[in-house]
Amino acid sequence: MKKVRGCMNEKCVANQKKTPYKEEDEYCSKCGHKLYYVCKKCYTQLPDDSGNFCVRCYAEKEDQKDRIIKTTGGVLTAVGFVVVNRGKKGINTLSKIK
Amino acid sequence: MKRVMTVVSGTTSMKHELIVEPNGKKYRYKKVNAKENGNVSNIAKIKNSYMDLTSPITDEISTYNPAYPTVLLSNGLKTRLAESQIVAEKVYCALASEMPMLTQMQQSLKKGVKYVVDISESTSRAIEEGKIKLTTDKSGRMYAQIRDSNGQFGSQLPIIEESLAHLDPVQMANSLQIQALRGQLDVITGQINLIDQSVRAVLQGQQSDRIGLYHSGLSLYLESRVIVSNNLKSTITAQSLSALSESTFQLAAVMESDIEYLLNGEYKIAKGKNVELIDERMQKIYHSFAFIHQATMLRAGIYCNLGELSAMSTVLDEYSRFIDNTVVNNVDLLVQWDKTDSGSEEGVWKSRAKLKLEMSDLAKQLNDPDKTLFLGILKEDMK
Repeated sequence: MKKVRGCMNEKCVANQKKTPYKEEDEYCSKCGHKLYYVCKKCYTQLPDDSGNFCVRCYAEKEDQKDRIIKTTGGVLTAVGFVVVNRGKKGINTLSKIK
Repeated sequence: MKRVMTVVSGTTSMKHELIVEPNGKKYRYKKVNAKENGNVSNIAKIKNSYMDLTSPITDEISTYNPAYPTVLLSNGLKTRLAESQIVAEKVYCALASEMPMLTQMQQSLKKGVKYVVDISESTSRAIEEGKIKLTTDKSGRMYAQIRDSNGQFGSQLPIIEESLAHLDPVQMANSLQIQALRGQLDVITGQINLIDQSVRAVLQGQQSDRIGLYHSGLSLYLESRVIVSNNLKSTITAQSLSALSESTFQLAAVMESDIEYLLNGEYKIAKGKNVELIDERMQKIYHSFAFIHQATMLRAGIYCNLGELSAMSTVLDEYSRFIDNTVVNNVDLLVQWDKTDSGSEEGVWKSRAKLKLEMSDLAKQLNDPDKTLFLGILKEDMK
């Protein structure tokens, strides 16, 4: 995934609309201001050596992953519990028939 | 002719105009929408310009107002600048009235007094002929006595004491230096003003032991101002400064540990709550910074009002170093942790980081033991 650049001139339309520019672009096509690396999600200015997202947005993504794992884990546990319960009931029924 | 008084409302963008009619009896009081007048930017500027050194000294505001420390410092600086202006004018008058200039400067830098005998012109001739002597009465006051032709001394003539050039050389040097540093003071106050605006919003409703120390320091200072006894006054002022200093350094330690927590990524331990923990710490950092700023401004303001400009510059220099160590070094990450900051140069943290630039230079110049005066001659076109 490529990094994105953004215009940091607060008076510029590109900044107000949070328009992302390609990594190769050096200057804003709207105001001519120099472009900087920005966070793909929140448009915060980033240092050159950082990733695609700012620390906070990255943490937010991690939180989402954890929540999904937690929810999926909960669902799987519930399914397992139901299966085990049904299984027990089935075994009981079979033993009564015999 | 009508007089228009403008009152700017702090919370709304409305302006009130009080119009006084020439007869003095009738007056109207009307609300004017600032937007309609196109003065929105002006109003915002007035509202936040506590540190504008070109504006007149403001009335003292309530101590519960978050802007109090800044107003105290600002008024202190304005007073010092006004005093230095008066001294500068005195220097100019002294130099202009008594020539040659160099002789005058040499005399004004000498400590001591000269004695002037208050006599008429006819008696001055008698002095030249050696017919005068200086005597003192029982209380130690000095008189001149003139010897008559028969060899006896006549009536006593009072001697008035006249200090040289009415100028204290140290005061003169300090005052002129303040005038010379005015440009730098303007830059510093501009920077403080930027930080101050972002800080005031987070001050309300915060309480902790360390913040309690700040309030204690503030309250002690207010008490010290009305104490009559000089000893008690200086003791209470010292205690106030001590409480404020303690509060500052404790809050700075808390802020540094909060930054350390975020730097080490300790929030990652709690799964699914990373953002919540980052925001929580950032909130604490905001509050700590706000009170550090307030306590520093108050300490600087107290020193400035006591005439201790070197101590004031040391406080501001410490503040600058604190910003250097905590904010400047971590500004890239602070910007990313803070959900309200855009990361631009005008953003909260980057504008705070800029404060370090001018302060150390001012402190260096004020604390410099070798003070040099440069006097320039300005020719004015009188046409």
